[in-house]
Amino acid sequence: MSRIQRPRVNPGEVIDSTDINNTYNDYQQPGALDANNTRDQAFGLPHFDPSVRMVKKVVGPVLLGTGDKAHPGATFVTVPALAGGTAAHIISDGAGNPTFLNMASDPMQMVPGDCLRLWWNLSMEHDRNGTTPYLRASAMGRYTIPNLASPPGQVIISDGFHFWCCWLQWDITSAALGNFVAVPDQSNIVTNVKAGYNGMLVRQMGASTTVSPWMTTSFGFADAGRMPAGNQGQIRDHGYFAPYGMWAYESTTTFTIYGIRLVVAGIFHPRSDAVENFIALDYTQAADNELHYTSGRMQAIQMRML
Amino acid sequence: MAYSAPNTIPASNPLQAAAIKGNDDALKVYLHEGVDPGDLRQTPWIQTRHIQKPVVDAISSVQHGVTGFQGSQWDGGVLARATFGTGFLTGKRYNATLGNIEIIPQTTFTLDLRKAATVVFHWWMEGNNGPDNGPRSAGSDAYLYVTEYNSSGLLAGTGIKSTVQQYMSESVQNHGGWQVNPPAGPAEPYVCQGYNNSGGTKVLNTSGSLTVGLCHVTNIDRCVCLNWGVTIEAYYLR
Repeated sequence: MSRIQRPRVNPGEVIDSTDINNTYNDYQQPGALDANNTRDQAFGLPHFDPSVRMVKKVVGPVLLGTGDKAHPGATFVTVPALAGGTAAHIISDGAGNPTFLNMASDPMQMVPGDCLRLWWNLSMEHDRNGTTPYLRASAMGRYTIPNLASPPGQVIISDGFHFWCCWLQWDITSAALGNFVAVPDQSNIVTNVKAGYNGMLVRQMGASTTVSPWMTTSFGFADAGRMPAGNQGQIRDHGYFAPYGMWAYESTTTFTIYGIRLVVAGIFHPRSDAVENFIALDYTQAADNELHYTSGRMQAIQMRML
Repeated sequence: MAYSAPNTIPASNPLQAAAIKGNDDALKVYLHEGVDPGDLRQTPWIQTRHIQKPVVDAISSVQHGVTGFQGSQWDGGVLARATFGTGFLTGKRYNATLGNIEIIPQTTFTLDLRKAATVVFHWWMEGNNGPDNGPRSAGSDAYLYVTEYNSSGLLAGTGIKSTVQQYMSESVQNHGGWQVNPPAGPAEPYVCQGYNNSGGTKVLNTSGSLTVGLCHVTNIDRCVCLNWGVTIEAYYLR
């Protein structure tokens, strides 16, 4: 409707009931009011179409892991470092039951313009069982540096860059939950991701969180590229801490999510070639190295990209 | 509600003051309450300027608009604001259980939700646990556990706080660096093992007055939260 324009009643003019009723009825405009009749800041929450939702679905939180938390003595799950292959560990309760966002009975229907936002945290610690695996022969990140002894010997050190990697997988095939695949922008471990290495390209780690197993330091001060003789390396274990992750995905297609889970594998080490960066499994770290995790959570919301 | 004149002025009858007043009073109500959604043209035409402007609570840094709340608190700004946890509040040494929950100062939002909402609370912190030099046995570690709490209809920090212990994020101090008794205490000077980084997100559907923030349990003397941030999102349209 256009702006209400009804001439005023001037002195001397005659009006009747119709004029008065019409004046009142001017304010009765179902489905007709537009910018011509509206002041700034006229509309608030009650005017919003209730069918338009910014949040479409909330899923979780769901417990990850064992459900135990307090130290010392918290029940934990052990994940051995990989000695070969590419199999990732599925986060579970310790009895072999995966703990994950199970939407099989109430799937999340995604349409273009929907956005999935997901968060998780999980308490973890690395256990090297008293060894120094990063100094093993052929370990990635292991370096020998000439020392200042006479005659010169060598100091063996590590760059300390080893890590575990957690990433997300989802099942968008069926409620049977038998087809988990890596989420978009994320890959599972690829055999020969680069010649001779199993791992992932960094540009395909969009839903990953890395977990540091230890911290290595050196007390030795370098002098012209040489270090004092003796064992210069120190290692400090982190103990339990709480890695966490967040992932968001805007859908451009229509599909259904039946489940989302977290997996973990290790031990990786960063590498690069002339083309790009990647992470590679360091199988020399298999013996004695293991990851422990207790409990945490995962939850997600489905929103509209309004 | 939409306006409808309660009285129709009859033709050929004296004009009654009560009829006019009744229609005017109804008009006052209509104009005061705002336009009924049913009166609006269905073809989209509303512009940003037609929407009520958000208001800002300068103290809590929370903004409230027609679709919900948004805001953050963090350690920065004009002055750095480290916050803390301490075993002196939650159970020093081995007297703490995960039920001994105390809030972490400055990390709480109190919201007056106008209708049922989906609330997303995010937090992160970089902290430094310890030092403490108190006695402990068998070289065991001490931890700081942090998680979110929420309560309804209460002032921040009072009353019953709802938490889920299994969701806590923990950090340790001086892991593996404790002497056994005697003499107990840290085996080496503290270096990096008290430092930690943690974070989390809590999503909840709720209504009314909501208090949501961070709480902790620790058996460490002092835990400094050096750098930290908390963020709140609340959506009415759900």
